[in-house]
Amino acid sequence: MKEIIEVLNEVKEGIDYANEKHLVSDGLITSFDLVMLISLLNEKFDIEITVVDVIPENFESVETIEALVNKLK
Amino acid sequence: MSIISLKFLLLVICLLFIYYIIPQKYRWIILLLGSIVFYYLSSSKLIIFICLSIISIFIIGLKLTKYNEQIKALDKEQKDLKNKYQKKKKRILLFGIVLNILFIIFTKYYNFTISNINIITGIFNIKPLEQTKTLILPLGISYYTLEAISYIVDIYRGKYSASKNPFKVALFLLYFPKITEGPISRFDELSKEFFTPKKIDFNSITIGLDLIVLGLFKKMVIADRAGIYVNNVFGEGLGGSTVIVAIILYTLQIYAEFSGCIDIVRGVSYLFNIKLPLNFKSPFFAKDVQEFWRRWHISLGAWIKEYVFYPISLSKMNMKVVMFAKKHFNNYFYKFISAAFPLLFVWLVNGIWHGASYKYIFYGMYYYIFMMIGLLIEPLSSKIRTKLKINVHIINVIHIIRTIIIVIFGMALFRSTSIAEFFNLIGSIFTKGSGIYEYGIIKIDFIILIIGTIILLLIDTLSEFNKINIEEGFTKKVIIRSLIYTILICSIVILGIYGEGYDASSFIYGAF
Repeated sequence: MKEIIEVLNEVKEGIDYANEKHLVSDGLITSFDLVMLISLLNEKFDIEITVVDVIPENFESVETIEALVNKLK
Repeated sequence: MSIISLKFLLLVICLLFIYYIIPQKYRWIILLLGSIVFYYLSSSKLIIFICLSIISIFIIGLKLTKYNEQIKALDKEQKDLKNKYQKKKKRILLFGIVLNILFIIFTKYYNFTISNINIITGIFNIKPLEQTKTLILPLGISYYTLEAISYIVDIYRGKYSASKNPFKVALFLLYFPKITEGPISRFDELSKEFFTPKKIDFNSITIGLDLIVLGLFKKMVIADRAGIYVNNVFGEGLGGSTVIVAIILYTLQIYAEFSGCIDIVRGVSYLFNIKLPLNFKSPFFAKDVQEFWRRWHISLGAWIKEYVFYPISLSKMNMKVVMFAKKHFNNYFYKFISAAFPLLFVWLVNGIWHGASYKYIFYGMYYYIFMMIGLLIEPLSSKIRTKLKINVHIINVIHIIRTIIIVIFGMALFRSTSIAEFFNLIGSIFTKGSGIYEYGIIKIDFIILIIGTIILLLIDTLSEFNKINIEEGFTKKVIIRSLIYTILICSIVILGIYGEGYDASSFIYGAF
């Protein structure tokens, strides 16, 4: 979880990622940020997030991002 | 057949009557029959094109589902077989996409395609191909082509399985309220609405009527009135304040008209207890161009994001560019470089979707340039804001005004017949004006337009701050509702602009 928050802060600072549950639907993370985030997650965790995985539910919170990463590992 | 004609009204009344008297599980069939009637009355023999799209995506959808199931049934060790099926799936998908794009190229984009081919063949002194004088324009082809592509791509991605009933796929593309101007819908969303048995819901009917009345007010009182002035000024070589007013009024016209049409479309659909997606969300509250396009024509923006932006952004090639940018540039340029390539495609698609000419490509590039400038200067402006400690509300207002100005000029480009006319128009702003009351509308019309704009802004402001939700109807209070209806209907009857035969003028976005 800590690692995911680090990556998120690298994409965009100033968001309370630990508590935020609607990163995409509240517009805190834009589609540009999402592309950055995916590229960093791919690199850090040696995974391949594809366009099929790009649904808002997978990126709404640290927990959902972590679940996606674990699924693709 | 216009959706604000008497014929359309009669069709809706007949359909509603039959729809609600037959058993719930057969009601979608009435919608399909009504949609076929509407399409045939509007486009006659050109219905063949939408039929071809339906047949193609129905068959391709089934094939893709078959491969999805075969891949699912494989063991982890059967990688070769999986790759083989994946390749086949990709080929079928590409075929489906290309086929549907060809339908639109041979209709709406025929002359544009020929003129471009002629440019290339001209280099080699090959005899130019002839352009057609009468373009074939099947109703709603720009909208239903995107829907057709979304259907097969979603199945390819495993989002859902193909429908085994071709008539259900037909209803998805043909559904009559949305065929003319959208909103561009998705099969999974609409099938829930169409094929889940639904009871008669008076709340849904009330919301539908609210939206229809509001849409008619926007179209007939505001948009068509502003349109008179706009038509008399654009391309006439006028200047100064006369042109500035025309540019502003065109933005008002297109917003009132397009959002009004969508209100009517969604309202008619609500009468059948079918909810269509939103297409506008207070767009003039956007603080930058990106946000504007998330609020304006939402369904187009969402389609382009899902089927153009993400596939290109996440492609292996672009991912390499992103990682290269990360290693060799600071955060400042990293984001800019990563977005540059996918956004170029996004705005090319957006531009070309709007029309078959270079003007529309330029229109797409206009927004692309502003978006890229925005990305480039964002870190700098953020630093300035922090240093100067300017109040965030003031910053927001400045950003909103800046976005409105960009959009107004973007609309002027959209309305101009060519890129040259657009630049002439901009140049003419700095020449002497010739008044505003000599171009089809008089002082009282301007007063009506100002009041209309205030009403539009009021609705948008209240929606933006969650004080009203038009999706729940105007109000639950009968007296206030009656009052709103009286005012709006009287305005439409007395102040509405009527053309020949008391039909309102056609919709700008209806030509796509």
